[in-house]
Amino acid sequence: MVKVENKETLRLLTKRFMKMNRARNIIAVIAIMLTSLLFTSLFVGSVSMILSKRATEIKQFMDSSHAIAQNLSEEDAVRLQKTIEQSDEVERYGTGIFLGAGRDKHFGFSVEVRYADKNMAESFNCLPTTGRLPEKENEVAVSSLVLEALGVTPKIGEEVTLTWEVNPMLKQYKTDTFQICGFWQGDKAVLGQMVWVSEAYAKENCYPVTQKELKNGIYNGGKEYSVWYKNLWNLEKKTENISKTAGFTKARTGLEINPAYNLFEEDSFSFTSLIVMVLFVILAGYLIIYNIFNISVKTDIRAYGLLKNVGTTGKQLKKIVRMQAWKLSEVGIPIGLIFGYLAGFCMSPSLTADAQISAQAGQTTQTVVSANPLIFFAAALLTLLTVYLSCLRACKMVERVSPVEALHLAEGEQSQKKIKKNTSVTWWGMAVQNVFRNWKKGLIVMLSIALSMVVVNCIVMLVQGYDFESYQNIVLASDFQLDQMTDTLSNTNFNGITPEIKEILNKCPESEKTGYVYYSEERHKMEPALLKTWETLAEKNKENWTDYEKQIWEETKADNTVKVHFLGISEAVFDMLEWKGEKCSWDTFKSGDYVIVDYSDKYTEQPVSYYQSGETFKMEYGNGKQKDYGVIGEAMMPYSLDYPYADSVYITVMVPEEEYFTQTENQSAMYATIDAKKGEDKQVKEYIDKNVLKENDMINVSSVLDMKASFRRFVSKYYMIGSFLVIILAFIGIMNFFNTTATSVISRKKELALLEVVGMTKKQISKMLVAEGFLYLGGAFVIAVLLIMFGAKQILVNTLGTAFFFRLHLTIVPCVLMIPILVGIAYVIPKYQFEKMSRESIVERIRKE
Amino acid sequence: MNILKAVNLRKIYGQGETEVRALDGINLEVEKGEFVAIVGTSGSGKSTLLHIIGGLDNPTSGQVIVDGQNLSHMTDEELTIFRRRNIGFVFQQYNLVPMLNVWENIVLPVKLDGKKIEKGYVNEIIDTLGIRTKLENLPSALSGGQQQRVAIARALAAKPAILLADEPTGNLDSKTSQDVLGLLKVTSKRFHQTIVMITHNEEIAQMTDRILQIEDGKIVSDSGLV
Repeated sequence: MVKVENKETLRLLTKRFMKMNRARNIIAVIAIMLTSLLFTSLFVGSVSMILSKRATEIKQFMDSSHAIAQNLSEEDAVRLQKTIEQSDEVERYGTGIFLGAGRDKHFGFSVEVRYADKNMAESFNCLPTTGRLPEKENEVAVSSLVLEALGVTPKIGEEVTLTWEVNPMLKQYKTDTFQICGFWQGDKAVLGQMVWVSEAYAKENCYPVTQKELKNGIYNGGKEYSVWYKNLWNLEKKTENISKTAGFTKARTGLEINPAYNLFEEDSFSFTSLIVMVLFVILAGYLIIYNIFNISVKTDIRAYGLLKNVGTTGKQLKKIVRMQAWKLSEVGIPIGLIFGYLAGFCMSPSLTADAQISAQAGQTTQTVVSANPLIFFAAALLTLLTVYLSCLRACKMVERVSPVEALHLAEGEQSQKKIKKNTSVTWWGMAVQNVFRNWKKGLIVMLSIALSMVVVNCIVMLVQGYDFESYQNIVLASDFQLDQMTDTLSNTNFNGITPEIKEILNKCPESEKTGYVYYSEERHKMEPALLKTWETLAEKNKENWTDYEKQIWEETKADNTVKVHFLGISEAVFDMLEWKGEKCSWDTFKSGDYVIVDYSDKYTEQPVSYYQSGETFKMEYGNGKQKDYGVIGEAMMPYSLDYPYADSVYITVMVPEEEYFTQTENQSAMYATIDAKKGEDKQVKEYIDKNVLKENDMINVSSVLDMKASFRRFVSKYYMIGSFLVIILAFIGIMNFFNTTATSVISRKKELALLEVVGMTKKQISKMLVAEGFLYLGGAFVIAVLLIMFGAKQILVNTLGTAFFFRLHLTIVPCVLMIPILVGIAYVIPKYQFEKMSRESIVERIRKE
Repeated sequence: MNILKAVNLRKIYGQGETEVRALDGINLEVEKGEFVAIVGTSGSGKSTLLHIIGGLDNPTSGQVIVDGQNLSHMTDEELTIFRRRNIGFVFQQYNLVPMLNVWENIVLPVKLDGKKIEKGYVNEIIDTLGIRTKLENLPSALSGGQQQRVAIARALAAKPAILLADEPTGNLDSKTSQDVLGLLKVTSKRFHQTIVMITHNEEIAQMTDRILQIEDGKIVSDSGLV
């Protein structure tokens, strides 16, 4: 076919159609704007979530490189380094050696002594801001926190003496004095404080680590690499390739992608939910834009028919509709992008601030709001796709418009309707018929309204589902909890709550109850029965144990002694114990002749007892003391007050605090718990801040107040996204309803006028229209309830409600509560439309066509 | 020379008892430059005949050949393009595109074809039809007679092989009808334009070169054959 140059004409026609449809244009622009707003804010929100999480993780886990290899033996390191150097994907890499944990009783945090080159130090975010990395054997670069703890002035050339652990298994330590050649401001929020030594020192003094030790979790002397690639594409594949080439075949060995950059990490980001949300936005946008175009094309169908008549082809007509859509998008999308970005910008802090609920006031969370052009590009593209899909039907309609039919329409002929014999003539019956006459359009209106109802309902379900109580029970056993423990076992302080601090706490006037948990590690000679119990347990759990844990079991078996978590507890803590079987009385327990023991498989349906009540437990203390106790009962320490680190073969034994003091001669506690008097949480917190933290600012304070605030922030995220969605969806739903009623009234202008002519009163007609509205909304309600009953639960539980403290309660109360609003809308809009139309006289309405 | 030839045209709606033969074996030839009137009562099939000749509708059987091209072999798309190049329509309802002004309406078919407008020719039509002062107006601002003149101008602008007019005076008063018909006659002569017009008004029909009468889908008389 000859290609003809008629763009100019089509453009003119498009322009004229636009001019003819001013009201439609405004509605359509708003709809398109909303769609692109939703897409943009969705993308800004999720990309910001990813980036913020990445920034937080980079900071927290001290790794800004793209991939890392840790704990390598010398020969593995050589192989890996060669592969990295040969890879053309790698931009640069850093290397380092882990020497061991720094040891000092003044450290309240973990300290690591390492060698690192410049790249490696950078990946830890620990480059000296003053001075440089060490070069000579006696030089160190240190975190300011380490110096502070050791009481050394941060100054180049100053001497510092450090002790570090060469091998924790062999209990081998090394102490050296160094000269400070660099330091930087340490950050308490990160995993550990670094001490950089020179390569020469590291090579000479590091433990000659082998595969065997590495397998058992002894990493001292292990080499490490950090790698930056040229770009962020396909990190997983690149990393895997390097590992494979270097001969690392097992999973989790060799080079691994930095979790901060691993988008597919289970908990980092759910692509499925993003896709679901994108589809949801497409659907929401489609529902309204589709309706707008359908209605406008139907109204203008005569004009399209005439154009076809004078020789405009179907393709050209389609193009005219498309061009209108693009023109409207040209206006709507940029506005939507801007507002979407603003919305995303405003939401990001609450989206990212509390990915985790924390009971501690300190925050490490970073908020990064992304303005990547790709976001806007993708949002614009998806909006265009939505618009394209939405006008498919309208395009088909104009493409197929028959020129002869257009003539008929022009001559004012009504399209033929099937007339059923049982035509009802009550206003109610007519309303039902009208709705069914146009059931496809009706269904779309119902769906779009139902959609907003479902979302409102789901959000309420979601927010109700987050159960503070069940969260609090796990994280905190009391209103306040104090300790001085670190995230890892090394350098943790089991005796952080010293008698001085206890004294301060005991004096707190607003506290209701104060309790303490004391910890010491002891060993216990196993009775034959206990050995047997453990053998059964070991058999069951062996496959989950690491070699190291298996080795511990072997040792336990060999000398027939089991590790004991020996806890002293005060009355307040005693009241919090979770009992298996009968609870005993504090008064009996207090005497000091009894112990409470825990049981195995605590969190399962069938816990296994180590001892029965009434049995005798012989305790041989590490300091040589011995005592026979009666087992008074079995109980478990609340999760938040228990020994917090992973351990495999042990039993927990509890005695009252007085007995603990007598036997261990140690009065410093692991935890302090405080319950405030009713409503005096704030005062207690102030008291702690003012008195305890002044005494020792390394104490961690977890409070129900901070947790509540953080929980509220966590839930408010859903409120926020939710209300945002609800407003937009409600708007779309109401607009759709408004549109539908408007067109159904306008397109039946003549019909309604004729009804009036034959004697139907205005009141009856308006009743009929209102009844139609009720039918639409009633339908929407039914659809919404069905969707909630049969779909919402699965979707919620699998996407947003994965947290352990999420309990879903199926409810349609929000939907029911919306009924009055819907009724109002169903009443007001049709009435308004009809009254607007009634301003014209009947004769005018009949004549016009 | 034959500009239009219809061979054994049939158009049947419905089936069995409800079957309606709108056209029942029509054979017709029209010479270039002829001004033909088709007359008949309501429902005689004259509008159907015009639609089929103009490629707006398809016959159940039979063939239409316009300017040597067989319409029955064309797709919908081809038919539309054929229409805008070869057929000009004038309807009782004028059928101007409501959102385009008079000038735009007139040149629309030419522009849709991507052709250059022959300004001299179009201006001549405009002057002949006396609508020069209305070029900027929208159709809604014109009287019925004026709208029909615009419709005729539009139909002529593309230099169609045939101009088809369906009751062009049906909505006009008798004075205006006379004027419009006079204009059609003038164009037929001046531009050597073939015109096929439907009317049920004998008086109007008398002003043409040739009158065909249709009854029940068949041509019952043809003044041209006498």
